[in-house]
Amino acid sequence: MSNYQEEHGIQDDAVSRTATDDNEATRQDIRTQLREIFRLYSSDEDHQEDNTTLLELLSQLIPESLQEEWLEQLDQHDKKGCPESFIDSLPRVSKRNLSSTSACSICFSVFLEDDYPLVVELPHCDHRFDLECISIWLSKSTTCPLCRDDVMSHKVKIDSSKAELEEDWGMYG
Amino acid sequence: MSRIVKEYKKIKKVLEGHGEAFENLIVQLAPVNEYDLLSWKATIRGPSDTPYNGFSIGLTIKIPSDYPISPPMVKFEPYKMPHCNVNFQTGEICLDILTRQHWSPAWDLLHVLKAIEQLLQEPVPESPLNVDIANILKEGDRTAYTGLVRYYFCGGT
Ligand SMILES: [Zn+2]
Ligand SMILES: [Zn+2]
Repeated sequence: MSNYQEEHGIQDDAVSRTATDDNEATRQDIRTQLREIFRLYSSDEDHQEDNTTLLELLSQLIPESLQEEWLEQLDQHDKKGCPESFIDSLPRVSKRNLSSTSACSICFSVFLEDDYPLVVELPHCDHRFDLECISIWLSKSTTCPLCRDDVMSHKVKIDSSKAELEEDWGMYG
Repeated sequence: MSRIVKEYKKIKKVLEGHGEAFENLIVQLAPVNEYDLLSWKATIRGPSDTPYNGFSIGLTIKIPSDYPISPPMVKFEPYKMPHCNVNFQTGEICLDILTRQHWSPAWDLLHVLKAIEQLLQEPVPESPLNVDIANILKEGDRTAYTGLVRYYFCGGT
């Protein structure tokens, strides 16, 4: 009897696992399609009237945080800089991790000349700048002033991992 | 303290002999007026392995208000400058690092002069502002190239 149940238990698990994987693939698929529709209709100014209803419908389906993210990416195409959310997410470097001689390569000021230095580090290359200085630069460019690394090229990775964690929308589940 | 003030201090130090890398290149690099650091004059030596050898070459530099986010505006002036990437009449320079797209705020005026030295050493005839000189360079006639540059320098038009 217990044997039979155990067997069933295992079998159920296996079945549900495959089902989840399928769901997962479908979700990713729909997500990509939605994103594309969103992109198309948000940016197409010629058919503004016709789009309103569809965009409204889409807006109700897509979580607000994602809408903002996608809209920000749309703005991105015109501005050539990094989105504000990216700049805001740059990790702070604490005062004790700053050497007495290291300076910001944009304003040429030694970080520790300021009693309360607000210094951030770029992803990947770890180059450090005053938050104030790098914010202005990254609002117009996506490159590190020192090594010319495209700072946004790493954002894709961060995004997809975040997306997987946030997968639980509750609408396709 | 603004960035250009810091640069001015650094430039003074370098030109007083603490930076040998620039000794062969820079004759002068200073603001036109001590109280207005947005307008500069520079004089550089023509690099030894080029037709410009032996000539002193003048430049003017304008610092934009949002420098170093925007690049400085650099022109050859007052001399008419014979170079395939320089507009002979206006002194305008075609140099990628001076464009918004390629400029980095980590660069300073010393970097800019180094880049201009390199442009004198390695002209780019593929993107010319002076077609006559670009054509001679493309033909690979080094003697004619040197001759033409020197002819212009000595007052030819
Ligand atoms: Zn700074
Ligand atoms: Zn970097």
